[in-house]
Amino acid sequence: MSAGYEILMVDDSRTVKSVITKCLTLSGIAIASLREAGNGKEGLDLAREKKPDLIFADLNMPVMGGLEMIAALKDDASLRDVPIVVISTEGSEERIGGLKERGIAAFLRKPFRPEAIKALVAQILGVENG
Amino acid sequence: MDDRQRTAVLSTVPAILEQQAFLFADAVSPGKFKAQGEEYLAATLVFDGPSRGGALAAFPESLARELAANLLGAEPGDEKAAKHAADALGEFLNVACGHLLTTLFGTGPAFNLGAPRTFGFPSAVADLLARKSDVLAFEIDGVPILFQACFCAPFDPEEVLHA
Repeated sequence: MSAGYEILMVDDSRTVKSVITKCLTLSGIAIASLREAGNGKEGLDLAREKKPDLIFADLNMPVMGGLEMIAALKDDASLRDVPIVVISTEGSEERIGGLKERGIAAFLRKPFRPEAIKALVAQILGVENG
Repeated sequence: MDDRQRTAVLSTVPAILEQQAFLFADAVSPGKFKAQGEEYLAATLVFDGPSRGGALAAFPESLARELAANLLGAEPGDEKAAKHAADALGEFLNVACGHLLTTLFGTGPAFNLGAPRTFGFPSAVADLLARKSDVLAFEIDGVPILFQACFCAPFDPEEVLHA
């Protein structure tokens, strides 16, 4: 993909979005755009506006949480194949298992190492992880 | 806060600070806590699930900026660190609280964590807060911080302001 990947970050923490942005910028992976949403509803709107190649999603957010947003994405035929990486402090195996059954691409528990973001993105998008 | 909860807070808070922001915290006796003479920034959140309650983390503003800088890979004096100080403190509290609940209740039950709220208060209020039985004190490079964990409902996250 020469133009780069369209990435959507959905998290109510500006700090987390800045950290992910920095990780991706330093990763060397070609990024066409990094769009940001502060809650699940905004994330859903942005995904419908322009289909992303990958979504980073938090779970606990105001207005609409990550669980609801993921359910809506997976119910949308045009968006259900977009890989979703959930980055959360969630510790419940049942809830994480439910997310995996819903078809998320990966779950990363906070706190995470920057290298983990790069490795996950490279693996999911099928690009070389140099 | 019972002994088990206290032990969990004493292990979880330094571990998350180290992993998340490369900050090293040592527990100190709350009785010996003396707030740094500057405005404190606090983040609070409430949770519900098999247990209901809330948590609060209070840092001097300069240390909250350092926390943000370390999370972002910036310098503490950077404008970006100052801009993210409150958000970074909320993010730390969110992660610490999530891990604290897993430590205490295991990976079986699911908890819902509310969005962190942040506010500031004078150092004298931090000294009052340190007297509460569910508040533990730590130092990061000699800078005093507080962490409150309440496993009771209702938890008034801004009770400290009415002290």
